[in-house]
Amino acid sequence: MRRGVRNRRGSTLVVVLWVLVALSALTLSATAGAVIDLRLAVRHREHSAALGAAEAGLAEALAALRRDPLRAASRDSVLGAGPAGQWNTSWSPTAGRLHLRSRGVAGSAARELELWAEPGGVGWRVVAWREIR
Amino acid sequence: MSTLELVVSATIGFLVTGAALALCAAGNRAVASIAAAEATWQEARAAVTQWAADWRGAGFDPAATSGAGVTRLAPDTMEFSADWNGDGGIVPTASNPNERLAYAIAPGVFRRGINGGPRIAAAWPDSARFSFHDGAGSDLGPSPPPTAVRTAVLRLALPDPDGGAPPVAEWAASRRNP
Repeated sequence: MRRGVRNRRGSTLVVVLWVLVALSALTLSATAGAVIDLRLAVRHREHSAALGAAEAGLAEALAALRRDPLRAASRDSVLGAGPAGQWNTSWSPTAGRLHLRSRGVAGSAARELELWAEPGGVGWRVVAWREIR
Repeated sequence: MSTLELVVSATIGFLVTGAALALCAAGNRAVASIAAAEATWQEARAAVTQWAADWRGAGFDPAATSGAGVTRLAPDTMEFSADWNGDGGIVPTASNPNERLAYAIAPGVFRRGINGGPRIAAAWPDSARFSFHDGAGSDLGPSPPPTAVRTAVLRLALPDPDGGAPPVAEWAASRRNP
């Protein structure tokens, strides 16, 4: 009698263990997929934010040049941070134009812009814009 | 243990093992389906990221002599150029491979062509369309004047792995060059 009870308990334990193993495998697979998905989405968002930060740096540089036009006479830069991320925008005068580089960083993502600007009505006007990275 | 007990326990064992294997197989199928959908989305994101970066820089012409700009826009086609290396021209060379670009989309296809050569095809099982807007956000219709377009929108539907209604995504990018 006792032996029969022990056997039933053993069988039940085996069934429970099998179910646990299967459920664990499923949970592990789903978790791994979700984690990868989340990391990719975060990475994508960070890159967008870094680009936004680089553009924010460009806007700040152009605003700084409007406030103080003499800063366009020599190599200079502005540093800053905002909701999107941090930026470092530098410029140098070249044959009556300005060559600007603006780097934005958000999390582990970094984006960089290269621009050319010419004197506009007030301040400087961007005439060529591209993403370097 | 009697023969009957052995047979019964073996049967139960087979049933339990079979159920567990079936469960694992279902899990594997589910994971494979999720992975395939994620790969499709990831491929779409990568392609669209490239497209958006190209379009934002369309007309890049630091020397102001290359004539780079937007040449043709349609719901399934975008053609434009940019003087990426700043040499004043948009002549195709091996070291300067993508100054003239064409994007073409059709059901199942998203293509990026370089310098008028063969288009690089990335299989993309969906139907996508471009639409175009001016600086004020007004929709310019299917045949817009290229120079008036500032924002291009790419709308696409990716297949749902479970056969349901396909999720639709929209990406917009605005040209930065004059």
